[in-house]
Amino acid sequence: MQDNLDMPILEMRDCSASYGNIRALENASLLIGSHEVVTLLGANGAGKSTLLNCISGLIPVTTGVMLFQGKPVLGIRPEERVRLGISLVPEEKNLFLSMTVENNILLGAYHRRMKGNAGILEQDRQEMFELFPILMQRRNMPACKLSGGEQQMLAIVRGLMASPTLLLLDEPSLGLAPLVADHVMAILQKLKARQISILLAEQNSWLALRNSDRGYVMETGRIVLEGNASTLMNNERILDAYLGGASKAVSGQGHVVVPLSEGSNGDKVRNLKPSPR
Amino acid sequence: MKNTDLSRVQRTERSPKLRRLTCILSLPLCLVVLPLFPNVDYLLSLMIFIGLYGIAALGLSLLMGYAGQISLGQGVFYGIGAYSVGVLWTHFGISPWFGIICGVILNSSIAYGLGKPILRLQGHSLAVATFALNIIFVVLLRETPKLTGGPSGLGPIPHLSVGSFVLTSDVHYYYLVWITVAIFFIFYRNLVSSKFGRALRSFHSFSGGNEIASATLAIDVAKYKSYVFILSAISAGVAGSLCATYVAYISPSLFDFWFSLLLLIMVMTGGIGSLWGALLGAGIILALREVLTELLPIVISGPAAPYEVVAFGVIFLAILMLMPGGVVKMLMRFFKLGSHIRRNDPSTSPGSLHSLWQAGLDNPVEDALTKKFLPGQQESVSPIALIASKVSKNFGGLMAVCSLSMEIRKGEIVAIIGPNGAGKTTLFNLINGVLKPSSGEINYKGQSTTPLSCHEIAFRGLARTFQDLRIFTNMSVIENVMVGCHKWDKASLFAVGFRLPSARDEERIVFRKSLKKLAFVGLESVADKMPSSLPLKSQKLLLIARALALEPEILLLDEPASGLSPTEVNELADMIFNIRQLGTAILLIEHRMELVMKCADRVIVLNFGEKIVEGQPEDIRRDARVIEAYLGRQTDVSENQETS
Amino acid sequence: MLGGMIAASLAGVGLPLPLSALIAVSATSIVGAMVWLVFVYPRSHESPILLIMLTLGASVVIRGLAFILWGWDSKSLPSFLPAEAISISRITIFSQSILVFVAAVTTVVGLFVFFGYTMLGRAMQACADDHKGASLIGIRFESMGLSAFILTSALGGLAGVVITPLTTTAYDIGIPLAIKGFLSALVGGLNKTEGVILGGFTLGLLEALSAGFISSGLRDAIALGIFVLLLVSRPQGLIGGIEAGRI
Repeated sequence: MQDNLDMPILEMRDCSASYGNIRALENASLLIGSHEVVTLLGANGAGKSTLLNCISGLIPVTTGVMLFQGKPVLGIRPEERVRLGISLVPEEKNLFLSMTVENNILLGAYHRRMKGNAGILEQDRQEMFELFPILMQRRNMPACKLSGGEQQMLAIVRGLMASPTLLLLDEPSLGLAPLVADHVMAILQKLKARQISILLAEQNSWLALRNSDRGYVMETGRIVLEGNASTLMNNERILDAYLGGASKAVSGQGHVVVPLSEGSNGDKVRNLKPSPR
Repeated sequence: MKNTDLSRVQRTERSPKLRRLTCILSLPLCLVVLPLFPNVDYLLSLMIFIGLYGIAALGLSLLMGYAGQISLGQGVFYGIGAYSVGVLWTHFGISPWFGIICGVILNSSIAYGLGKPILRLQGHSLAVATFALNIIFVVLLRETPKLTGGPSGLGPIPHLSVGSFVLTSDVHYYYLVWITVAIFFIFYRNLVSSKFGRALRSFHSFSGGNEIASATLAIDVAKYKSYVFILSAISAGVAGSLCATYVAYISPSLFDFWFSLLLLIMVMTGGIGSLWGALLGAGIILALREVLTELLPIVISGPAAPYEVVAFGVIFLAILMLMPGGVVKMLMRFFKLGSHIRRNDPSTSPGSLHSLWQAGLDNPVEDALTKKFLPGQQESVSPIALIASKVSKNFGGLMAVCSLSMEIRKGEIVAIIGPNGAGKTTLFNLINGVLKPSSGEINYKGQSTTPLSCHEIAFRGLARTFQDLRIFTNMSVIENVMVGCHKWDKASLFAVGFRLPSARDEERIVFRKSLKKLAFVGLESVADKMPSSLPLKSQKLLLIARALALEPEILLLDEPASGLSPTEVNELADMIFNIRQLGTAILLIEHRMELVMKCADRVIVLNFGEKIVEGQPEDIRRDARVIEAYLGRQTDVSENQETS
Repeated sequence: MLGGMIAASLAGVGLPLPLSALIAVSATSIVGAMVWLVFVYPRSHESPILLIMLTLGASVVIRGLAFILWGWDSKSLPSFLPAEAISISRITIFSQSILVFVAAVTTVVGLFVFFGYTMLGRAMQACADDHKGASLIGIRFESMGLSAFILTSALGGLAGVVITPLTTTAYDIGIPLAIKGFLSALVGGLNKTEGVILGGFTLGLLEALSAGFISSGLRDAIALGIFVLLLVSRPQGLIGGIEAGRI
């Protein structure tokens, strides 16, 4: 699984953003290649959501450069970025709760409605229903009546209907039972095959890393670690990021982390030290 | 709003002070001497009406600017004031003075009765409801001719008289009306720059406040909204009564929707949230109307009345579009008066801050006066401060908290951890009364919290900070803390409005108390700064100081360490220990494990709304269930190969 | 108000009825779009109170202009259907009333279809439900605002046109009607077409009943009074939907 980093879909260089007084994002740089699945890891408040929101345009980036398919996108409104191919599925899902499942899905393709696309849109919808049969069953129910897991799936489908080149997922497994979360993650692999790049922010590190190619670890607004998913899974630093120094205790109890097949292909682990405050 | 604070000894330049002094005194001076000029009869008459509308506008400005409530129904109260005078005189021959008093009583009662239900509405609902009330009022006036004289109204109503001296001329009424304006203005000014004003600003979201944060500081938001509504009713009523005695004939059409709209226009022109603006707005609008009445017939041949309305409307719209903050804001910028805006009571200005600091903050007399517990409350005897028993919270189909049981003992530090969405903040909301449990019960100091509202729980000594800060951005640091001291301030509305000695003493006590809290967290040097200028860590300390102002027995801290550097987290840990020394138990939601490990006596872990583990920090960290909750399951090889 | 007045003037000048009606509704929509463009769009993010005052101010100005154009006169339109009134046993019904009823029902159905089945309607509904979600799928909330204003104005114009044969129209009927309309919407339940219609029918019914059984002078007072009580006891409206309390 060699990643194609020659033509990155997204490139961020030294981007920073603030909420009022809080520096939510500090000098973040990352790359996402075409049909890659990349995970953002980190504890709550580490800045993962902020990063995703910056890419989708909801939060303004104050310094740095962001290129999407080689073209600068900073300053472009979120509504326009969707047209360019960036689709965000936010943590709160932001579904249209009073509307039916079907309407939510249709709306996902809002920006594609004009070009006489009715046939293609219909095809896409059918595909979505095949991927997520539960939504097919509930297609005429108002979104507010769905369970948490179903709502999450609906949110993802809505995001996919925009036919993005880059799909941003903010905590897709949040509140989902483990089996459902697994199902959602499995879908990601299928999407990858369709030339969609995915950047997801996840608290559930192992689940995410198992289904990703690469990952970045964030701490207090900075990217502190990056590397291949397999290498990161063995990295104790991740446990530190969540549970503060518990890593040794864990390994001591014999939980073995199984690396993905070849493991050492293209090991790239860079320990980025946070700058002193 | 300008401030008569003249003791800003910090600033060495005297010109801004002098400039402000001149501006402030020049207006009253002009008003006083106006009647002495010859040929001002027309102007006097206009000024009387400006004064009458001004009184009503002051009340509306308070309602809209400080309590954030919009009313299109002030005509009702104005009318009740006028008709009280009219009805009592016409049917019973009672002096108009009694009519005025009767009007005040009637208006207060009606405003009190209406206020409670109506003020639950907001924004456009409230506007429409008050508009409807105005329509209803006018219809009722028209349809009860026996009482109110029906469409033709009542009259003649005599002018007011003091003893045998009858106020017949415009000059008399001019002084009477403007003295009344001055009384109302000073009263409202005092209210606004005191604890009352702070309380209002704390919940009014457009002035940087937040209703829930305010309730968390023991402020009964509904009560304050009601008070302001009653005050606005009294203002309009008194204005109406005076108007009745001046114009001598009243009829329903004077008090209809157009009056309310005009009043609203005046307040918006002057600037919402500015008492000066209310008066200025009244002046500008009435003057504008006069100007148009004079000018338009010259420009347009034929009846000018309809063009007046249009021109008036267009000018008003232009003002709103170009100066959305109102004329007063624009003038302040023009005369560069804005930078010294401070809403403090003069005795609590920065100058007095320094002199207080030098004199030392301890005052045995004062400390004796402010006991830790208010009469009627007792320190809890049992070692357990709070118990939650099988508490659940259901949102539609979503179980945010599931049969949770836990307890906190006095002086304990308990940490609640768990992944995102585990129900931690919901639990806090349940404990401090923002949400009610769907089942189960929370017992604080031996009493169930379910029937209590958020501010009542805070009053009993349960304080809380928020993950998203919710600092009152339009107030200085010390004012934020002074809001927290609200429950200690016993001065009545009357005392505060007229700045009686008892109110001034209370204000000083609250000020010192707040300063002490700031000193506790180390922020005393920035007491007069605005919170937005502080770094994040200081802002978080401010919130803690504000919560500590309640002198709580239990303090709930929601993610206090988020966004802080490791050093700052250590300092926070020390602060938490200091707070425990005061005898306060602390319940902490946190993701930063360094803080949890350092401070917590006990850790409770939540996931999917349930308590999954409880124990000592060291044990929790190694517990497999906890690790799984955070990082997810590590599964066996076969599943791995399936997904790759 | 504009709907009725424009249609009546045009018909008075001799234009055929359907054309007058069409022009009236279109003109009203254009006025609505202009109000949005000049007053609402530049200030979309300001306080709600400011927006209320701006639109209220605009109503007053339009009312004033209407007075300049048409004066005190009340205007009328002939009944749209050839038969003026229909008698069924002892009850006489104006045919126009039936038309109004039909128009109302058609509007409800039309709106239902619009919001449920057209992209623009769904987009508007989405924007109202969750505007962050809406912008994430490419909906610009300004366009929605403009569309909403045009739709509202058109419907207002239509209402004016169909009711004129029954009640005549004059420059000053606009604002009280608007308040009643708004109140009905709030009481019925904002955000749900069924709720709004329920509110409207109920208000009309209350007015008629109070006028008939109690006193026509007190008609407004009673109907409005009951409605305010309803609103206060259930701020989110009878059928629910978004809470009418908060903006």
